[in-house]
Amino acid sequence: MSFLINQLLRFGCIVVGIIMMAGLPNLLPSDGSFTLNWSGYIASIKEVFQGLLNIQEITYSTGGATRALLPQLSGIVSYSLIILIGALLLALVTAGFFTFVTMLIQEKWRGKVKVFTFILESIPDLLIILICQLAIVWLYKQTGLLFFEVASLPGEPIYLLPMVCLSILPMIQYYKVMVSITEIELEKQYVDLAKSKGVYPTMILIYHVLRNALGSLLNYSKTVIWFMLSNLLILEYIFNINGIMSFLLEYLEPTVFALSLLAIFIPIFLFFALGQWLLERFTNEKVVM
Amino acid sequence: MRLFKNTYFLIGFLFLFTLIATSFLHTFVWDNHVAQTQVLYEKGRAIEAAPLSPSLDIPLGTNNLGFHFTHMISIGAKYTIGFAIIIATIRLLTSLVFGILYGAYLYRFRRYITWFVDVFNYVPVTLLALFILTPFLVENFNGFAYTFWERVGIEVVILAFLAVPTTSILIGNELGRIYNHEFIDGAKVVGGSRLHILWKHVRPHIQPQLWIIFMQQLVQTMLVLAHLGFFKVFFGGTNISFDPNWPDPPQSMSYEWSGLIGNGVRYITVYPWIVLVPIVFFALTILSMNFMLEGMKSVTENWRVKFSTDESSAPNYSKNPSPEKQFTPLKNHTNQRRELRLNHKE
Repeated sequence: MSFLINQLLRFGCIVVGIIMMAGLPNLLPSDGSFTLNWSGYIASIKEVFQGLLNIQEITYSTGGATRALLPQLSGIVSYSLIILIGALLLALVTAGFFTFVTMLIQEKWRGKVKVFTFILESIPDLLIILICQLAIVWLYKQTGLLFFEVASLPGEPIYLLPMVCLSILPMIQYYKVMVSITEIELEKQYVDLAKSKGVYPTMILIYHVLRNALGSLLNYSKTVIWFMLSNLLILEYIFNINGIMSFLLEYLEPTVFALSLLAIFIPIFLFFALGQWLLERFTNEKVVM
Repeated sequence: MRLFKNTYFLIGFLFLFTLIATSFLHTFVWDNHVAQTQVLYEKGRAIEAAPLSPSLDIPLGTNNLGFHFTHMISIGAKYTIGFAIIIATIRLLTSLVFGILYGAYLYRFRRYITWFVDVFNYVPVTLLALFILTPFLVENFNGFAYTFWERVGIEVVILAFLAVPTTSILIGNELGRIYNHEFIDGAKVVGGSRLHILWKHVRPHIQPQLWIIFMQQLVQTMLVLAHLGFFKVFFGGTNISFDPNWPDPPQSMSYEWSGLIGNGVRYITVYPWIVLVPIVFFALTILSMNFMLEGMKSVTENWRVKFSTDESSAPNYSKNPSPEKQFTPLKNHTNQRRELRLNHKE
């Protein structure tokens, strides 16, 4: 019960935070003065709040026409969420696979792999996404084969390439964390016990280490998702994807900002709450988020 | 000084130092000269027109007006890196004030405070910065409301303050953990005032961490600047031409790198180097900053080990020190490094 109350409180805090953020541009000085505009801030927060209460009536104007936001938004959000979740899963699976392979190779190679991942991790997301796109175009020019669609056209959503691009950096981050968790875990005594009983190293990795690492992974996922959201912003811009981030960029105005952020935040929050609950329930591990 | 013996730190430092030194040389010795080659001739015949691709004569190529990237990158380095350092410094100092307030006085309420700051873990900084800064930095039909330096000031302050909540929590949690150590209780019992304890007992433990946080913030600032440039919100303002007959592309005011990115984005598939050159320089700078960070981490991590194995630097210890002596702190900086992650959470 206290779990539920805690989660609700956290949820409330974040919703309030997002609404307060949405008013920020109106708080800042404008037209050459340097005083904070508190009355404008409060007015815009009120406006956002009222907008959220009557969600059905929120509109946005595009090219002179005024359209209702809500039906439009659900399609856009689900498109973005599919890419985000797909990329996250892809990153987790590939990182898990690579960690598994790394743990089975010799110790002296591991150091080199670590330096390599460190360098890869330092490359900005912009560069990785641009290089992916250029590589596809280059391959197409060389071979005449279009492996993926490079840009999205209206009515023809693309999924695969954005997912792959978006998953590269999180994959490296997950990989790094997984390797360090596994190394710490492998030094614990229960692993020695399992080895002495004759359990195969692969079995130890899959059954015991993985289970114990899940808590830290869930905790770390929060950072990764935050990072992916800003990658998504660039990705949608480059691939001309009609997702939530490009929508936000086009209509940077308080009510739309608040509503769009909430639309993407609520599913993520539910995912974390569910993950935390499942972990506490089944592995008896306390996850502090 | 131990830092400079670390290979990682040295590589990163040398790269950054060369970049900034070249940049200042460019301004003071060559007076910001930017070479321009609009058409490339060979034996009196024109063979290529701007934008020229990278070649032996023009190492990084030119942009679409024929200006050499070598020179533009070199001039821009000091603005981009310099302002990133200023922003990171403001972030660190402000967060330190709030962090001390939180870690030393409000640590009991850490759970609720963390919840309130949690919202920053769901909103990307780039998006928030775009949302807040676009009205200031992008010229509208009436021109800018603020002068160039006013815009720079506003941008620096906003980019700095966007990271203050999370960084304060990070520093505050570190402080709170140090305050929970037993030796702090000891100092309190003996009668040390709060300020005395903070300065004499907590500071030596937090100082190496602060350097690490500073480097992390520096890297993050560079990333945000690159992103903003990508969305054509340039440092110090985006100059947009509203002339219907000659609609110039959005221009940056100086040669700072984010402006170079923003100007080149349109040519990505046709002349990729125009946007890739500045982005690669961003990448190299971020990489070298990360190298320095890694160097710092490994130096603070190995501090205890280095001191205890180095016989000459610790002459007071006999070959087999008594058990109590083994566990007395050897010097101020004997704390073990704790993993600092970006999620600022405990």
